[in-house]
Amino acid sequence: MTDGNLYIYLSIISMAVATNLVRVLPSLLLKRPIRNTFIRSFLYYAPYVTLSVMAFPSILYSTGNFYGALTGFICVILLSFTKAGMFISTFGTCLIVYLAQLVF
Amino acid sequence: MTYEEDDRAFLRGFRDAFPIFVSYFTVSLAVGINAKNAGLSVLQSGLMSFLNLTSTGQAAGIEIIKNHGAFLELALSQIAINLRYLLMGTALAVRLRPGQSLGRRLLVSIGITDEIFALSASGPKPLSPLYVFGCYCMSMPGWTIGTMIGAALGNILPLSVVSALSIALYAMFTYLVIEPAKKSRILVGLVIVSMLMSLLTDRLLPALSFGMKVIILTVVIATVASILFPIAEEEEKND
Repeated sequence: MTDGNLYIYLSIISMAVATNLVRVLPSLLLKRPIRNTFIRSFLYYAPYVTLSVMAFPSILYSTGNFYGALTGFICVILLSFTKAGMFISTFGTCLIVYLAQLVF
Repeated sequence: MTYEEDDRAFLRGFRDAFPIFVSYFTVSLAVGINAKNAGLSVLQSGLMSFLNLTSTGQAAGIEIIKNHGAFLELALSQIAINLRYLLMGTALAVRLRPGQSLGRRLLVSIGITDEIFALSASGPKPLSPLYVFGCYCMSMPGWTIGTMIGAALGNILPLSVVSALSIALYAMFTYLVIEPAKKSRILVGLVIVSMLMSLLTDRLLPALSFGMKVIILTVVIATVASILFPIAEEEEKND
């Protein structure tokens, strides 16, 4: 195995251990619901912050075409305010970006 | 619970999760393309999806691997990004009939994703662990196979199509955060502040890795939000 491959396999295992640890902890430890308001609030807000930070500004550089990606970003925000649902919003955005790239 | 009830719960979960199979399959094509671009083989991409089953986590992980980040950074980023699974696991644990064996509770744990949680938490009470496992057995192959096909076909598809598909994951993150946030002014503010801080951090600290940025901003901003706007249990149920 090359060093590069070893690094990738160990990376995948590091990720899997961490992700699944978070998944199984409640089953292993939790005997009753969390009552602490700060912890509840933190667990409630954290995913919004994480997803926002991951999405922006990375989304603008995701396609290699800045203006196409910016069009996509605006498009998915607008679709989020409709009843389109995740599937149509996501792939509708891909389609719009594809068309926008023909222009920009 | 009898075996017959278990069988029925499993089949119900397996059937209910078919829409998840379809959306996982299509979204994971983009994950596979990203993984391939980061230097992962088709097999490695599939293994990552099989073992992790997390779009946000894998997107961050792939980004970190591309930059040869440390294993600790990878692990910490997964914990920060998937902290919400703690809350979901907690919410599902209280929906189970009391006195389930550890093995049955673990069947619930391994299947926790945003979409499977959404199905399981909106179904009838008490929740059967086999229902969640049924959802998992339908969804996981869609995610894994889609990733491998994306990694394999990424090179065959025209560049313009790959480029347009590359935005799919980020569009999904944006959708996942805006769609629920639009109901609450606090959440809208939180999303805007988070995005601006992310942009600002990129500008001021360009050397900070992507994974560390996600971890630090999540801890700092969510802590401040929790202090300023602590939430009561009722508000959370509307989520």
